[in-house]
Amino acid sequence: MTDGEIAALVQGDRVHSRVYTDPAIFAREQERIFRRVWLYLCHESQIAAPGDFLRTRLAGVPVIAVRQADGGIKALVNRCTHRGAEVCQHESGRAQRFRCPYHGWTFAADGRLVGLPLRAGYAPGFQMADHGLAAVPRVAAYRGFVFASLAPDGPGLADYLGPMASAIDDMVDRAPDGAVEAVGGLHRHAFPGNWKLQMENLQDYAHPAFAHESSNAAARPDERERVELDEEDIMAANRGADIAWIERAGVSAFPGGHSYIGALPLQQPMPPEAERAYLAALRARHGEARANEILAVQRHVAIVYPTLAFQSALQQIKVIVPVRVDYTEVYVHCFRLKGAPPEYHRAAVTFVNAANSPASLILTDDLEIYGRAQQAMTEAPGWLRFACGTGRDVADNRGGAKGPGYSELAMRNQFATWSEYMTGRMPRAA
Amino acid sequence: MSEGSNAAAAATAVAAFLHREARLLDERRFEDWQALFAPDGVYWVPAREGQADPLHEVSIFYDDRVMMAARIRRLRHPRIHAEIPPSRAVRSVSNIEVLEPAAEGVVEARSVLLMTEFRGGAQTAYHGRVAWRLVPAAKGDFLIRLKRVDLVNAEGMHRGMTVPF
Ligand code: FES
Ligand SMILES: [Fe+2]
Repeated sequence: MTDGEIAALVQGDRVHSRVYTDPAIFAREQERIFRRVWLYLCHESQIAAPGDFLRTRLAGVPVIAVRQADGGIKALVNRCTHRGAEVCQHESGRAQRFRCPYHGWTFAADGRLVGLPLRAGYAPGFQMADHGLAAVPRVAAYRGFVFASLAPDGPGLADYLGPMASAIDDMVDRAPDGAVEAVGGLHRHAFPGNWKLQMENLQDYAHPAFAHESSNAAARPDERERVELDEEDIMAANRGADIAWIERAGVSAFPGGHSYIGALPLQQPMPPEAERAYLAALRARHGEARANEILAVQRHVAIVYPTLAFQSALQQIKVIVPVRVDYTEVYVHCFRLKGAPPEYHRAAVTFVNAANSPASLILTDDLEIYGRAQQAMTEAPGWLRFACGTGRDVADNRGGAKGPGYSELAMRNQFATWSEYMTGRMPRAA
Repeated sequence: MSEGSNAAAAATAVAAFLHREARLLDERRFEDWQALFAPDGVYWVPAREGQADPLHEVSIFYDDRVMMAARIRRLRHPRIHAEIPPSRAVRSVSNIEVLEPAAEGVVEARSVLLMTEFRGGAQTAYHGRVAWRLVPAAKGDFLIRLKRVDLVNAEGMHRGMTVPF
């Protein structure tokens, strides 16, 4: 497939369904997008002590994220340099050494080969030093969120995140102790569809009134006496979010494919004592003016292109893992604001369940759509339109464009960036 | 009656109750199913093996009766597109064990659940262990204070779940 053929699939607000269904395009996405960008690796709190590790994948490459003795983090490719076995089989844990289960080659936490059984069988010139586990070339963190890039060069993490560093700030700043930790658990779900369906949906205010109609209609939050934001609040908010309100919420999109949408009309109900304690702690750290500024940030979902989404005010992130052209896994992590009263963490857990449990009334609507869209587009290829809100963009004060909340601006922006990566042009600097 | 036959009668009553609970879900009699829960009853499906805390860690389901009611209203909505056509499921309940009655006649029981669901053209099997906390109700019947379903694949990759197990 030539660059010209790829470029022809994205024509402004018109996109050909083949970008969701063609395995050759998916293979090229792995190479030209996912193996070049910064991808989310883990949160520092998950591997806090030297030797702490967890297994994950980056653009299909199995890796072990390991905390080093010097406090740094390495991402080692989890493939034995002997004859290819998976070296580490544990999901997570703490280890000083990783011993391959096949023939016992043993690697240090920094990837060096330190144990070679049958040493006498190797010629004197055999260099153990040449047989360490491969390390992912770049790992970098921003305020506890760790990213990795399979590309040895390219923009640094700060440049890559650009205005989207604010999505991380938006979560971390809310913590009175200035840090968050990944202790709220993990939801996992998958759908038989292309990853881009999920990324578009995350910035799509045109769908809740329809896709979530049954859930919105079911919500009667007033019947409940409780203090945590839950499913019914979200659904009622969807229902209450009329077109004028959605328009005002807005969507802002930036070079590099990133974007965010304004917040739903949700109020986090908190017991007054907990709220007082929280505000006091936040003000003690930042002063009243800055604390108010932090709390005034109103975003529903922010995405770091291509596969990461933040719901910062609700302490969750969504990591999208494209597995095949028509199969995508999603991992949803819940964070705790350090220094906040326990009620705040409980509220975050309730909210993550409400929005992103596999049994969520809301998520199940979306998952169903992705699968059916994938099937329909596979069976009936053709052009799709992302025309809503064209001609309505104004400049965003962070250097992007802003449109009414129902605009398909973020999707047009994703596809413009996609086209740049896929045809070998790096996206414009963020 | 001897102690042995008391225990046998309790086991029979619990088994009948669990079979009825499963059948109400199979028959999509969700409102009748919900009525089996005590006012403070909870339906819990943890997100990982051995999860002890539903409040500080995420769960697949953690429903009180109010949340159950919202779920059921949604299942009755004519345009619930995730359920066109509606999910069809068979739940098989086995390995029932009644534990020693706890305080105030509260019955703790265990069972094994195998649910096969057909939805959206695909068949999915769910398998899990269920822990029950039942409180006595009128005429030797029970109400559910806690139904905890530990799916064997709790940490697996899940497709959307529209109906309870
Ligand atoms: S494949 Fe790892 S030791 Fe042989
Ligand atoms: Fe949605």
